[in-house]
Amino acid sequence: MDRLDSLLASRLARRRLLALGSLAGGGAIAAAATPSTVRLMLAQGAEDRPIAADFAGKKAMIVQRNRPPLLETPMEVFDRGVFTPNDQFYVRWHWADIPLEVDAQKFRLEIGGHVRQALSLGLDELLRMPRLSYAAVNQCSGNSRAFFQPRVPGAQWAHGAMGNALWEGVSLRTVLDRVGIAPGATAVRFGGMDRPLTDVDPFDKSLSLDHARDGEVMIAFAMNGEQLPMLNGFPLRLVVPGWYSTYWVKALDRIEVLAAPDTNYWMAKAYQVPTAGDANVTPGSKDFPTAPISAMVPRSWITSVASGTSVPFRPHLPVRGIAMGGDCGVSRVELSIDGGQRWMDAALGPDEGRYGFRRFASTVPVPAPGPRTLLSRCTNSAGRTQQMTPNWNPGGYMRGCVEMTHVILV
Amino acid sequence: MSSWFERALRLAWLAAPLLLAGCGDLATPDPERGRHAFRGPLRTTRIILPADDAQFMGPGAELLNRNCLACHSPTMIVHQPRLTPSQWRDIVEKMRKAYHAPIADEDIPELVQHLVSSRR
Repeated sequence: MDRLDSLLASRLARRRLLALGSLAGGGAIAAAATPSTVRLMLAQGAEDRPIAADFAGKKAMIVQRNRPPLLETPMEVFDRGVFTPNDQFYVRWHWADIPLEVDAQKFRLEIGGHVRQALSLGLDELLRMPRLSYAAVNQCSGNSRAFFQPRVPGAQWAHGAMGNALWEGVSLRTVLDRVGIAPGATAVRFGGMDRPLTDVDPFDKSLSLDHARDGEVMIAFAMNGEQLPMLNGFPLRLVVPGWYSTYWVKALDRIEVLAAPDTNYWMAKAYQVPTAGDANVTPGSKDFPTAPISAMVPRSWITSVASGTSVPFRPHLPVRGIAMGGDCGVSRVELSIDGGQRWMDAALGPDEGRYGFRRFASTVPVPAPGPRTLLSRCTNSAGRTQQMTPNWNPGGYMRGCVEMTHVILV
Repeated sequence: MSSWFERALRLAWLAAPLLLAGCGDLATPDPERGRHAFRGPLRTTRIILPADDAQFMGPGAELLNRNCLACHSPTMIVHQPRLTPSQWRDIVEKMRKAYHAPIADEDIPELVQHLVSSRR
């Protein structure tokens, strides 16, 4: 039985519902019946998740966790365009206490620490400062974690813990220049308004001083031309183009310049990846060198057809999707229908900015009806190409391999 | 000698511009595309999250509800893949040590057992 067969078999044999009493023992949960579900094709077959449209500012989202919300963007959204609409942009919070109300007049962004003159900025002041804008993909470090084999604990995202928006705001460098960096500073730490319920380190992240001053890192107040949805970090969020979303601190309200390396839990302990290439180690490995996760890697997804579905046979099958270069642009996307033995170039859509998604499309010649595995492979402008072999690490981070789309052409 | 695939590939390349123009995949402007600057002031905003009163039922419910649901909903647990007792124990230890979850030592073995059976 090949992988497609096993996927289809498990899809037929097992319908895992969240409904009352369908799970053994303590797994049963008492709740209002979920309005609808979506079937995700994950590493060990199909799993159902609730779909909900009752989160503020959001249309239909895949509910990975109700509280604090982990809301995933359905894959079909990425088929509509390279910019992900705000009302279907994924949501990820760590702490139980997340900001639900922000008074735009009273809000202050505090900038201090190892600086010459600490500063407290209101939103009006920030809006009057010189602006920049660019497209950039925001992707969770653990996007696609549910495809890891063996499976790893954590938010069980399919591929929708990502989105591309046109971000607009003020360069972090502009604000750091206003306060003046004191001699001996090495890093800049960012914190938001979300709070743990216990006495532990807040969710603070930091960047090296050079990175923070690169002119691109942005304090964003708008995405896709609108103020940020509350669930995506209103009123301000850090944008670190090319780097995983863990650094894109939401509801940003404090910036602290540090004179020593950041030893807080979220930099020193959490979000660590193997230093080995592709953040890849043998499953089960424990003692290996690690470093904080950083730049993203090239990825691509076929969006015109969902894996595990049947589509009408056509001798020239139209295929389209989206690609990202990681921390640079997309230079090439190739397609294969024979498991990666032969590849053909896809046409690329307009370049909306090197940190954003880029569309690809082609018509793939198909000799006959039957089961096919469609693959897409992105090469970024630095010459890095997606690998066929998936990486593995215990955190389920930095998946970047070629993804398989199993279809039956009938 | 060229295979069917290579011949088909060449044909596809010749036909590609026409086919692409036909389906308009890459030519259609992106509906969300917008280079317009953000004009507005930032408006005071308040949201209300959907009610989350879901609880575990059945064996172990009291233990799971008491130890897990202060910080997150049951979906965090029931959406996990099947994990071994040792993996669940590591998670419980992480909740205690890293996040200071007030879970009593004596509760751990039974808690792990119920977490395992929650995903059987």
